[in-house]
Amino acid sequence: MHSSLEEVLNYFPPVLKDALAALPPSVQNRLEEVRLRRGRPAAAVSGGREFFLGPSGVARTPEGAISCSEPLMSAFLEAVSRASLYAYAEQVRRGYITLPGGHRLGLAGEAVLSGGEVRTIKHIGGFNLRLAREIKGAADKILPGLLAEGRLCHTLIVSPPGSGKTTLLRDLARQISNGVEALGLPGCKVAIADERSEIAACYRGEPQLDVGRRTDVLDGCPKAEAIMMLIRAMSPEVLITDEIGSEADGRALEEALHCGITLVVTAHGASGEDICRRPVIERLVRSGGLERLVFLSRRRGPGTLEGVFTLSKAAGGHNIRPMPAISAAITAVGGSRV
Amino acid sequence: MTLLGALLLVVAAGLLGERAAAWERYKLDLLENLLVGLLVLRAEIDYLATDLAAAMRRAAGAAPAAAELFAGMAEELAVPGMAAGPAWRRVVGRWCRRKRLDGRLPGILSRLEAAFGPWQAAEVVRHLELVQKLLIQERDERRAKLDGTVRLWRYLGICGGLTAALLLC
Repeated sequence: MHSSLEEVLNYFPPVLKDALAALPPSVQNRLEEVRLRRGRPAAAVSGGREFFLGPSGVARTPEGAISCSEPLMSAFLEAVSRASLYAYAEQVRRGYITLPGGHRLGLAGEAVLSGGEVRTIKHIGGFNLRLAREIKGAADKILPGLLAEGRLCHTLIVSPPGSGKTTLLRDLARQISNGVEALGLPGCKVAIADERSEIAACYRGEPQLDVGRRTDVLDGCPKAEAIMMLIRAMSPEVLITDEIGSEADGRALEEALHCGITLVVTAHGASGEDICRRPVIERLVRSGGLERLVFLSRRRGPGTLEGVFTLSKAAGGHNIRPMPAISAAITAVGGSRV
Repeated sequence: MTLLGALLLVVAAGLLGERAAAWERYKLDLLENLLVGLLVLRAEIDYLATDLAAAMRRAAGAAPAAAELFAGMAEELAVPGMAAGPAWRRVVGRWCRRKRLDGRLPGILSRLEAAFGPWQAAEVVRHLELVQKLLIQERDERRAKLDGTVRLWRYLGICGGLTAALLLC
């Protein structure tokens, strides 16, 4: 059985535990998600394919699947929270719980609002357990393209959700932090602003996934604030963060640039057109804050590398216009494929 | 010899009475310790958001006379997949049997079964508060009766010894 599944198996009530244990090894090894919705059949996703969970593994029909009754859901939540849901109040407010091993449990239910902000989620009726998969070496192909004259370039990784951005970012953090002798890249002080605990998957302050020897993680803190705190307190050489987009993020990243910190960031987007619509990204490109663009997709499965592009200031570009195709967008800013 | 035998009988019965009186005092001490333990538990849950097993261990440290109860629960919680409510019921049953606790106390403690589960802090605290109130009531009642009960056991011991000695002589 895959170690990721083994780590979470004990959280499940016996009927689901048996169902998961009965899955064929090929399905277990590629298991990505287990979804439980109150009163509906238990489902799982393996290798990008969704199926229902029956008492002896894969159910052929939804009717033959295990129904997620109230006691089953309650027992699962109790096991996951170690009968201490109150200890995860802040995470519940944000809609997820990070588990040992870096696995993440997404929650759906009734949001309780206070002053227009989510205070907590009650009547939790849906779980999405996403298994953390650490792929060491995911950045091997990309990293050489991110270096120029032995220096790491400011990099933006773009992809649609679920295309392996965070996995790539995590491995980049590990390699940059540890250093890569073969590429002449010395180990750097890396700081990660991990607002949603996705990169390092901290559990009680400790990264559950390998993000490198010289990496400091500020977990669960709003990105913009985390970036400023890390700049002030941890004096990083490289700053890594996920899913930039807001104006506040942009301002904090510009501040990091002014401090001489190298940025490695990600943003959601399926095409060049998508990223061109983000004023924050456009501003970063203009100011020379982004030198490399990495595009990922799910075309041949999660983590399909569409290309690593360089953005050249000299080309007089840095004026990203909406373009449907990635390469066209890159050309428009005077960039080229690495 | 008869006199010596009678004296020994009275002394033995007196000691038995004293022991029963000490047991009454110990039960009060136990109640005090339970209250301290629950207070620590509540603070750990409400203010520090400590997870339940760790909170139980801290409560055990703060309440030596009731340590076995709280530490027992922490041990049960370490078993993967163990539901906290049934675990508490089991631990309380075991502890009350071992301590020979009867009356209302086991029932009061069992009420906490509903407090331990996938609940938010406010819900857990509400249950803890209720149990604390019931324990305080129980303690106050026992404390009010303590002097009388202790005296009763002592007199019963000595008088019982004297009666037995008179009957046997």
